[in-house]
Parts: sequence; structure tokens; C-alpha cells
Amino acid sequence: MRFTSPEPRVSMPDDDLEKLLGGFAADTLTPEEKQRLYHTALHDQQLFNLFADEQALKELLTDPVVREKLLQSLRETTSTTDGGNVSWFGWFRRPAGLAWAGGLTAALFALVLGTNIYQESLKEAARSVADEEVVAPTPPDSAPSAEKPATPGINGSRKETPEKTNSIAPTGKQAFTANTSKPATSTMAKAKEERATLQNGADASRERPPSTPQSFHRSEEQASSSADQDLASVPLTSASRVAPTNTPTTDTRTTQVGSALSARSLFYGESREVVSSAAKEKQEGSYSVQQFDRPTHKGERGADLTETRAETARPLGIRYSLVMNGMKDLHDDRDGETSLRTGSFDLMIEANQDSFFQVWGEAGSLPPHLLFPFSAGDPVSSRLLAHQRRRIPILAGHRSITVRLSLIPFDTPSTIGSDVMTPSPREHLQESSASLEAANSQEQATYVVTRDPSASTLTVRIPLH
Amino acid sequence: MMNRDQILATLRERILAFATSRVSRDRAEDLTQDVMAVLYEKYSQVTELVELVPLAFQVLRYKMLDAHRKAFRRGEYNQESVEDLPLADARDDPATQLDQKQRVDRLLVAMAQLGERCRKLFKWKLEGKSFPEIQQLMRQTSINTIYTWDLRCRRELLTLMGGSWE
Repeated sequence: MRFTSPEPRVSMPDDDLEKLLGGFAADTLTPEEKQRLYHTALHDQQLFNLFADEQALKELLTDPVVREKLLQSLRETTSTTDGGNVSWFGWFRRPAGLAWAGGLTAALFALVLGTNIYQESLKEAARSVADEEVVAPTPPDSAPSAEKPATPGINGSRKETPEKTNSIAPTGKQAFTANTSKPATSTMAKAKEERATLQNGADASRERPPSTPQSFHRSEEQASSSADQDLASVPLTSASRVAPTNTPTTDTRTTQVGSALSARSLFYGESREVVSSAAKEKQEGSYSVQQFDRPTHKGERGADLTETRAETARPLGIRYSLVMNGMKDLHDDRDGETSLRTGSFDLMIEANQDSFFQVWGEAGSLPPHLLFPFSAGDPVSSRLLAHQRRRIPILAGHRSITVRLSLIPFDTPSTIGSDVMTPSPREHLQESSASLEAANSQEQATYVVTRDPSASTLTVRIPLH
Repeated sequence: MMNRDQILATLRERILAFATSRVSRDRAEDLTQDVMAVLYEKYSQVTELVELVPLAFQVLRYKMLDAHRKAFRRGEYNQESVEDLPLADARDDPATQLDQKQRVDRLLVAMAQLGERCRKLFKWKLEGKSFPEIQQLMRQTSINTIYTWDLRCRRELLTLMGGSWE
């Protein structure tokens, strides 16, 4: 008896065929799955061959003994793994575990990185804000550390050779030498170079008064010349720019005093510690800026006040700016050769302490005359409260104006000597900075602070053209 | 819907092709004829496709094993004398028993090496659970996921068994 098959073969995707084979061996196929599978196998030789081969496993699994044996084995291994005895390494080897671990690590890394970047950006923003606030920035944090010497060698040389000590800056300023941001080696090299320059001009230095150290005098001269230049032109740079390029070590120190002591910060009382240090050294008998050209026309009352001020250690300072009526800032127009003589303007002044002030004007060849207050002995009108701005109208035609600031009321004379009208720049620290006003205009303010914390008067001359 | 004759005719073609791929053409035709005779004579009451096909696979496997034993007895493999061969026993011979025992042992070792998911799958299948039931147990939305997992596990087990269930 021979059988033939007249029906055509029906093909089925291999994936679908094989998927049902597992159920065939275990005999767990549903009736629908069986119908589909057997019907397909009947018309597909490859599937039929696969089924025929699978029959061996099916036969094995049909045996109840073998089946129970396999089940027991599988239950043991499954319960072991379900019992949580799998090591963390086993869990880590799984794809899901790897994905979790990788994701967690990446998240932590991103968090740390983002935090660092955020902190850096905050710091940068703070720096930029500080830079914008002060046009000529002076590192405010350098003042507190100024009391430490830059190198032991410098102090050592000072102790060993008193002559050298005389040739260097006063101790009150020496403290600020440590503030230099330059390497000590470069400073020393510069000092050697300048020392050689000084030796060449030793004769000239001997002719100078012994009470004035040569290097300091020179430094002060250079600084004062720069300060004069500042007074004449009122540049946008701060007082720290008075530092000459080629100066001996002591000069460098003096210059760095200017750098460390920002007139603006002193005005607002941010460097009290530094000033206190300077006052302390002054009391120890070291050279002090107080010894240089400090006006001494005050009486005992002024001396008492000086002592009190030495204790408080806050130098007298003034902030001023010139505002043309209807113009933004006259200082900015100077380059454009715009003269203040073209119109009247206002003088904005502000003191950092309760004080009295006078405004003197110079016009043509006439002697200085009082512009404000109208009476020289008017203590009420000339009263200037601390950090309270006063606007003083100035008429056009003045060559310069001079602002006098004093902690005590002025005397009554309505005229003033030219020596008083010409302040010594050595006494002052000066700094100009620009700030945005409410009307979105930039104000060029100048801060002038006495170098001597005990000084009770301050005279500022403002050339107008 | 195929009737019994049509199913058997189709089965004959499939069985002959399969047997031809394993033994010679003449022996394959004899083997096929033997299988069809059993299906016709012994299982004449079986008419459904889902019963006839697995039955055909089972008969085919028995007949192939039987043919293998006959050939062995006839000395087709080692040309030994018939008088030297032992008498036939109704039970499985020790060689068959040993072969089955070894296959079970290999299967146990192979299953122990499977992953957790595959072991669970095989356990549930041996417990008689269908694919839809396993789908619920494994909390899968698609039955195809279970089919795919089972296919991969079966292939892995076959690889661990050496490429054959025998």
C-alpha cells in the first residue's frame, strides 16, 4: 500500500515554527497551537524534520520518572536563586544590573560635575561683578594678609642693616610688601637693579634731608607726581597705577601700598585692619606717612581728635564727582576737549565721616575765594554727614576748585593761603571708578583718602581744565 | 479541512523524505511503509490531525529504532554471527537503559547551566503549564515574548546537550 500526497506544500516563517517546538516536547501546546503547528508541519518538510528530531526529547520528557527528576532539579536551583543567595557580582553581571550601575554612576558623575561647574560659575560671576563695580580693581583680600612679610630675607636684611632700613619704606607700608603677587625672586631681582641705580645717584641722595629716606622720598615723589597727574587729569585708573615701573624694592613696596590700599575700600572702611596695622607701627616709632607734610595748624583739640582717630583707625576720606547740568559726566568729556567752562555744573561730595567742608574756587588771576558755604564761619551749612551726598552748584569760569574737609569747624577767615590750597599728594590715596547711576548714566567718582589715619583734615584740589 | 486519508497521504510523503535523509532510499521506503501500516491498522480510530501527526512521529521513531536494532542484530554494523547474539528481551536492553540514563544526566547538567528565566520556563512547562499560562506567570503582555524566550532557552539547552537530544 502506497500513499501519495496531492496537496501543495504550505510554507511558514521559521521563527513561528520553531517557537512552538518547545511546547511540543513538553506537551504543553494549546489545541489551537497544536492545530496550527501540525497542519503546518504536514506541509513543510523542514518543520516535519524538526518535529521528528524533537520526538527524542518529547519521549524523554514523557517519562514521568524523568520528568519528576528534572522538575526536582529545576525547583532546587530556582529556589536557591530566589532565596537571594545570588552574589552581588552575579547581579552585576546581568544586563539590567549593568545598566543600573552604569546609569547610577553616570548620574553621580554628572551631579558632581554640574555642582563644580555651578560653583565655578558663581565665583566667576562674583569676580566679574566686583570687576565691573570698580574700574581699577584693587584686590580687597590682599589687605588682611599684608601684615605677613613677603620673604624672611627681606625682614632679615632690615634687622641686620639699619642703614638699609632707613633706605626703605616706612614700616607701616612695609607690611604691605607681602601683598605682592609677583614672585619674590622677580622682586629681588628688581631690587638689585634699582639698588644699582640708587648707588649711581648716591650723591644726590646725601643732599636730601636725613629725616626723609631716599627711597621713600623718591617713591613718594613718583607717586605724588602720578597723583598730581591724577589730579590734573582725573583718569579712569585707580591710585594703584601710580606705581612706577623702575623703582627699587622699597619703591615697589610703596607702590604696592597703593595697590593694597584701595582708596575706595579705605573710604568705605573695608581695610580697617590694614590701617590699624599702620597706626600700630606708627606708634612703635617707625616711619609714618604722618611725618611728611602733614598740616599742623590745628590746636590741642585737633591733637585730641587725632588720638581718638588713631584709636578708631579710620582715615578721613571724600568721594566727589562732577556733574554737568544736563550732561552725563564731565570727566568723560575731557578727551573730547569739552571744557567745564562751557557751563555751570554740580559738585557732588560725600565724606566717610561726619565732618565740615569748604569749597574754594580759583578763577583767572584772582586769589582763591570761598564758594561754599557763603560764610566761612558757618558751621551749620558746612556740616557734612557721613555718607550723605551734597550737591554744590559751581558756576562756570573757574580754573579749579578746592574742597577742604575737616573734622572740626573751620576758622572764620574768608581768604585762604596758597599753601593750604595746594594739598600734598603724599598725604592721599586716590582712586577713580565708574559706577552706573539710576538714570543708566555712568558716573565717574573719585575717592581721596588720607594716608594718615590720624589726619583730621583733607584738602582736594580739582582742576577743571 | 483534511480527512484522514488526506492526512495520511501527506504524512507518508513527509515520513519518506525524512527517512531518506537518515537511511538509504530502499530502507527508507520500507520504514515508511511500516509506519503507515501501523497507523492504518492499529490506529484506524485516530482521525484528527492533532492526534495523527504526533502519533506518526512516535511510530516513526520506534520504527527507526527498531530498524536500527534489527540491522545491529543482522550484523550489518559488525558482521557478527547470529548465534552469538543474546535472545531478545521485551524490556529495554541495558544499552538502551544506559543510553536513556546518560541522556537524562546530560539533560540535568545542561538545565542546571541555564539562566534563571530559562529554568523557570522549563519548570513551568514540565509542570504542564501552557504558554498563555506562562505568559501570565511571567507577567508579559505579549505571548510572542514567551515564544521567543522559550525558543532561545531551547536552543541554549540543545547547545549544552551537544547539539542533539539523542
